[in-house]
Amino acid sequence: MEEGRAERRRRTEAPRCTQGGARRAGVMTDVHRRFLQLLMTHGVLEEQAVRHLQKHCYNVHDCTAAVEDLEDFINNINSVLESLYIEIKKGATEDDGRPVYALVNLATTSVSKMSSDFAENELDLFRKALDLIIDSETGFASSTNILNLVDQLKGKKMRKKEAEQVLQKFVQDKWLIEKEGEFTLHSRAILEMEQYIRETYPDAVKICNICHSLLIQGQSCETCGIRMHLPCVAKYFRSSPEPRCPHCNDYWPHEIPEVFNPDKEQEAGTSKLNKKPLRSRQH
Amino acid sequence: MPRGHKSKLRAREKRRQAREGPEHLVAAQAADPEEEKNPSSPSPHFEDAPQSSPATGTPRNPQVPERVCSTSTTAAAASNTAVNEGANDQEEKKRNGSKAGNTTEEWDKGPIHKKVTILVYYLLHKYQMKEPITKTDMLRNVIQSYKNHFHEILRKASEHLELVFGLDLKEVDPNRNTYVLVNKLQPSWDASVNDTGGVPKTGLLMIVLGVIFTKGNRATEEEVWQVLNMIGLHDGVKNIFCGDPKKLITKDWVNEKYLEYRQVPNSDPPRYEFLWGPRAYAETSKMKVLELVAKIHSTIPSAFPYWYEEALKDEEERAKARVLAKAGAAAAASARARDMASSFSCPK
Repeated sequence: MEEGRAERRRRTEAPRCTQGGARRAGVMTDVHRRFLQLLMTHGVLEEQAVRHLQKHCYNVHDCTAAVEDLEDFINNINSVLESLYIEIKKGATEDDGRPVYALVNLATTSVSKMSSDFAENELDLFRKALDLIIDSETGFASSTNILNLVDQLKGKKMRKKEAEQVLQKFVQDKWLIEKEGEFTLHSRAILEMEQYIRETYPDAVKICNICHSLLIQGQSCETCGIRMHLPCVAKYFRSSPEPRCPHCNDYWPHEIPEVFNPDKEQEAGTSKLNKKPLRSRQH
Repeated sequence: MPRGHKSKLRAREKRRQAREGPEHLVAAQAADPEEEKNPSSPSPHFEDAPQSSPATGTPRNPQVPERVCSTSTTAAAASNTAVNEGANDQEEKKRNGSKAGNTTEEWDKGPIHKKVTILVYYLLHKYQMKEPITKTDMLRNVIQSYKNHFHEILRKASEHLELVFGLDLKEVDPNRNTYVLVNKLQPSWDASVNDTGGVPKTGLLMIVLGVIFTKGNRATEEEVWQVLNMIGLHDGVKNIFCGDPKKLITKDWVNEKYLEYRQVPNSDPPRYEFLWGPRAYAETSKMKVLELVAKIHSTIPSAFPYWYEEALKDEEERAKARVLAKAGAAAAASARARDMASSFSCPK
């Protein structure tokens, strides 16, 4: 069996690099494997970092082929991952529309990705926070409100002090984002759990009128109530002098954010990485 | 239990599974975690979450296999040729050779395949947590009612892991059925995912040790940053491979005793310098570090006569120390033997 495996592996590797342009979907090489391993470790990565990662993987394996277009590269890997119900999913941060990528588990609809990292009462704390976030108007749940639910948690009893630390762990592991004492979902959680959220909260869940994906933070029309992601608003009203609601045509009362520009990022240099994105709660 | 009763139960279970198919699979998974006697145990419960959320009364799980099946059929249709060309090709051929055609289908798309995918996630997770995996864990958390297919499910899962992720499943303790996942890919200086885990100690650390050595065994913070900047690491800028470089060199590696970071004596305003830490001396050597410095400059260590001489001296001293240590150990051993011999020959 050992031989069979080695043979198979060599064949799937083949002279992948020399084939450069000719794309045979579904063939994995060490370049792709390393990419997957590193992406998996990081959980979620911004597009810029993903590009660096891709280039890095080519370099490590001394691959002299031209670096494949990122989208094709990822589609290639996804076609192999399909049979395992995993996917490299692309999304965007809700506050400023930065493209992000995460390795997502499609088969199970639960907080399963987290369930192995956290204890039962910690998972329940997350679910309680999620309840509050989904129900809220702004997509944010205050720390106080979450902590007040500590007595209702399943599993081992948790004190408020502990719960505060658990919430910080969630932030560190990129499941939640904290802004001024309030919590919302990280883009990683949205990518991983969109399916689960849609199924768990079929009535309370909010959807963006433009892209039809799950919406946690965004702007809403004061007349008809439809909602849009901030980056979706930015794109939709890009060159409109007089922005109007796509549904009821009423005047759109909120500030229109800028469309995310990755090139501007590079000019501004690496200082932007440390800058906290502006908080916008416009409902 | 009376003899024969167990086999009756097993047969009944098998008949039930055959009748109910994938829905039952999910229900069984759902049921099992609840039957678990200790909810607060640290072992992970896959798909435990949906059961405990009371928000919607109707069971959501039955929807899962439907959605999954539809995904898999469209996926299968779309990528059939693609996937078959690659990873699964040889597997198909192998299985077709030994079993009937319809069994292949059953394995590819049925509940067994679902178990394989869940096992893949489970193993990946254990790999990231750097925890070994036992057969018991796998049976309890993943395989459950498909115990009889354990070996096949494990084999298929490990094939996927090897072909797709470049991770090898190795049995480390056959007596206790313990396994680990090992990275097949050559380690590179960036590898955040490797067997020992954590930040790689090769590469970047060696570079810093090299700076310190070539600056006379102590380098100012500015001198170190000069070199780090050249390779793209900047103070205050998180790097996706090493995280926060400042924290790494001034805290993490200091705590791990690879580096020493201290204020330059009598410096005002305070300036700081780096030295080798005791662990660096223990785990590497001036010669090894010089070899890396030489490599970076596309040359050999003796091209730097001053440092080469220092490195040679260091090697000599290490060799002496090793001999002494051996001699010391031998002396201690013979002393012990003498004591024992004397105690035997002089009965009290």
